[in-house]
Amino acid sequence: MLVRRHFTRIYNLARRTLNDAAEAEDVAQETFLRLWKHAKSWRPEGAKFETWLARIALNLCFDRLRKRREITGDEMPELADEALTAPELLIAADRAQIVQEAMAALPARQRAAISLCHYQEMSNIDAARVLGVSVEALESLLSRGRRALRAALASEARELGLIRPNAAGAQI
Amino acid sequence: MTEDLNARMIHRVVKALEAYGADRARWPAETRAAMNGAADPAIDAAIGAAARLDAWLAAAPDVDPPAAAVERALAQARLQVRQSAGSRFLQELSAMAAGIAGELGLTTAALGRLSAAGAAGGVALAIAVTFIAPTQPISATDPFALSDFVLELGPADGVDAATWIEEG
Repeated sequence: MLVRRHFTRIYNLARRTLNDAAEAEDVAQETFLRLWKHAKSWRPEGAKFETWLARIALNLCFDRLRKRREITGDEMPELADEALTAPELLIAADRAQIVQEAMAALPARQRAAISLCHYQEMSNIDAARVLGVSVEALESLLSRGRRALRAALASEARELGLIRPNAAGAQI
Repeated sequence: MTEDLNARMIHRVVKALEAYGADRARWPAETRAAMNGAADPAIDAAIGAAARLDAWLAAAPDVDPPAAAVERALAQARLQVRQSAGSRFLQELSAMAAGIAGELGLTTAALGRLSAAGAAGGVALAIAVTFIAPTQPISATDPFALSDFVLELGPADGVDAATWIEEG
């Protein structure tokens, strides 16, 4: 089903960006409502439909992240609140949990870049369009994000005994 | 190949590995081409590191959203389509739909795909046509992206659009 397929993609993009299942649902729903509201502004020659939809969703996510910062008056927490991690209930594996927490600790735009390119399998050009940046800037976001993930996951793996101490660089 | 050119190529490949991971399908095309002629221990190390991180990322795959959330979103979207379909703007547009479709150069296949909407009173067809750039032939790029949504959210085959809107 077309709507369900797009909804799932948008939900996962929002879930990874916000690290909050309930907010991801809200964003996915709001994205589809905005789809109708702004449908006339879509031009097939300007952006692919999926790129356009992802951009709507990410803008909604960034709005929410900005509001979170206004409310807390601080930077984003490194890890999600336990009470807000419903997606974890859906992801049973320990490794999935570890990756999710490492992703949650990334700055929002790095997280979004990795989500678009790795999980949504968007081309670099499309992902750059969604984020409103140049391809070079996207590559910088991706490199910094992946470097941070490697460091975080090496540390987690060491704690779990998956790798030897002082051998993190060789394992992750 | 000069040493300088080789160094630049290696740098580009390592940069792609760091940014996009080990799956070359995700790389920029020109870097993929460069990779074919590149061989260096730095590249081997970067490939290993990128592949291991890719494997970690694959351990956190997409999840299905809760079915109730999808149903809620669908219900909201259907409501909005109904309200749009009932608006004066779209009623006027509905009357113009056939003419617009002609101007857009709808292909036979496109018309076939939209025939369900047409049979349902032309309202959904009108909405679908609204979403396509007036200067762009409907078959040129991603033509059914939005019209498929309309067909899915609009009246079912054989259901009169006016009835569908009223019953909403």
